[in-house]
Amino acid sequence: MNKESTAREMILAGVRGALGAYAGSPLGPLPAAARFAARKASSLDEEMERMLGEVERLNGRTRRVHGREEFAAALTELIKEEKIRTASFSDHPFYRPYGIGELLEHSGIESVSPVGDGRRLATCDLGITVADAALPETGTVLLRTTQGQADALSLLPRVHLALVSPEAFVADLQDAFALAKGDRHFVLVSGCSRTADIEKVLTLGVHGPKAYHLWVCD
Amino acid sequence: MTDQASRIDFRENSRNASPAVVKATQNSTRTALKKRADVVREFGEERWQELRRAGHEIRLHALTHLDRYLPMLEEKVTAAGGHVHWARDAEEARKIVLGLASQHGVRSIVKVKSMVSEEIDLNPALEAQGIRAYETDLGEFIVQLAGQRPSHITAPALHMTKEEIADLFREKLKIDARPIPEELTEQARQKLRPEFLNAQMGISGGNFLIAETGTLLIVTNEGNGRLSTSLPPVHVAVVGIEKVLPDWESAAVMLKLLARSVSGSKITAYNTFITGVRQGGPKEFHLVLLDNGRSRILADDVAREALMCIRCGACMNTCPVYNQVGGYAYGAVYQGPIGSMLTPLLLGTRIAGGLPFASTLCGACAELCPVMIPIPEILLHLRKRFVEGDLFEPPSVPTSLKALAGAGRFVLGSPALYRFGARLARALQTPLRRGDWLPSLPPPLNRWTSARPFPAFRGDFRHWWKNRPKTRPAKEASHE
Repeated sequence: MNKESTAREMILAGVRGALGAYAGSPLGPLPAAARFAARKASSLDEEMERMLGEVERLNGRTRRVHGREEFAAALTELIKEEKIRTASFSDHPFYRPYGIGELLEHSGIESVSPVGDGRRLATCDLGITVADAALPETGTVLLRTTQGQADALSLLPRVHLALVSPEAFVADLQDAFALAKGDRHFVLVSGCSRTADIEKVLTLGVHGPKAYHLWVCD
Repeated sequence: MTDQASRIDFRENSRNASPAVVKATQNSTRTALKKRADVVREFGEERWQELRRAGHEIRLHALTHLDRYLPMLEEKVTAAGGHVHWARDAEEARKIVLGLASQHGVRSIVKVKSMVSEEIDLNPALEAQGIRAYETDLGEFIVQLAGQRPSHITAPALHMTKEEIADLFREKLKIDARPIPEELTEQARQKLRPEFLNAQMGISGGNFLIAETGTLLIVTNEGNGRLSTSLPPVHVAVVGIEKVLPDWESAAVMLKLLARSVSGSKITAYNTFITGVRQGGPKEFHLVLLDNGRSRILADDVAREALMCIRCGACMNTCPVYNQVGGYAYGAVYQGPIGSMLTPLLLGTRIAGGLPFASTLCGACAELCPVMIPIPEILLHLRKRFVEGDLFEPPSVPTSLKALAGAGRFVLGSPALYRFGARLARALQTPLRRGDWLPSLPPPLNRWTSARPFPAFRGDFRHWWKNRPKTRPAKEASHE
């Protein structure tokens, strides 16, 4: 037995010894008091409004976008407002109907690949992601990490735009976890990178994005 | 913290607390508490209590089945391509991390704020091997630059003003820094961005470990937790064995409790869930499970509940003692009420047995604790250990103090001696008395008067009682 496996045995023996009579007891279900009823969703419209409200509270900018035309107009506006020159976006199938690649190209925006060691993304202006789930109570989006939607895409670019479809809405964390708990990696994102480490003054954009936009697209 | 051999003198440390630190502490804790109260009100007081109860049950269940959940966690992490290491103490944990660093030829490391890393004194060990370890949480980055320790578990630089931080940046980073939080934050970002991209290893702690799937959960607001665990080719997480949660439903409850209790947010900006290795992420994932005294605490069925702690810092924010003395008075990594429990439990009564006395037992901490740890009860338990000793440790109280307490009990137990003593005190105080106060007393009583005056013995209650006017109407008297 090598040294580390000895440490393992000794720690586990210590734990068993500490638990005394409890040690080795079968893993039954958790007591009822350990469970907390999940939040119930209201109507989809209310949920969407709530989502936008919460994101605004987290210093994010939000809008509701209907159809391709509005999407194109909103994107042009965002590009101008945030002075975007380079952008990166995930390969999520949600984009296809919007033709986002063409829209960016049309606006003269250089596209950056979301794959790689992060150096290109670190100087990129805009990262566009698609939410795999949206949690209205806290204004949170769940982003599953895939090859085409790397973790860094929502983190390294200066501005993060998260797109949410109505189908992505779930009532509570438990529902979101049920979707992604089998994944090797995912994140919950609520607003932009923030700190209050200096005299409790809220400061946005520490290591992650300095600006956060969330659009509900239907 | 494990190398700390000398006794922690809370009284001496608190005497050295600078008024500026105390003021900064109070400003910060007041803000955090107010925001917490608001967000709990919004959640609904009744629902919140139900949620706390659930948090308590989950943590208790996890701890009482730790012998089951740890192997389950190990199996799942390994199945997902991760490596699990076990460390009995700080030294073993440091050795494992240093071994991994040398194996990968690591020269620079980015770190996510971790209390366990402070507990095992990881940074000095890395520096001794010529490895640069960058703390990337802004507050932790600041205290690392200053060569200090965090003074609060969730707000490490809470004791420093923006002016001090600007001075520090000018001196250490050789940049023109102004005392403006936004600018200082930007300068730290500029300094650390390249380090994230260049580091060969990322080191984190972990807020929770989910046994069901072998998932490490890291909670950060700044995004440094995500960068440190996704950009460098190797990720090492050092986590205490007590951090295990049974399943994802439990994780949902704990996240709701944690963010609200830390700072009054409904949720932390970024919650990262890492299960082993993934395509496009670090090539290796190592989880170091640290005991370092935790299994010994588990054996103590009163103190055991201190292991339920989720490191939110709410007990510190609300503690009237912490708010008067600041974090450094506790002389160790964990401070405030949680420190007064954990430090003597981890380091032993001989070193930290005085800390459980640094409390008024007012119970404010237990009222806020998101997992309902009975903090005053555990503090009393540890006081008893200090004075009388128990199965775990012999008594540490000095014999002189014990003799004094014995004498006190004898005098107070006898009415005649008590009356004589009271009369004697009134006579002896005359040369020291200044109006209604005794500003200073001779040793050893000056330990009290060095911090605050003692009220003078002004009258004789028995005498007053015997001669009090007895003509007041009965009705009015009943209101007294």
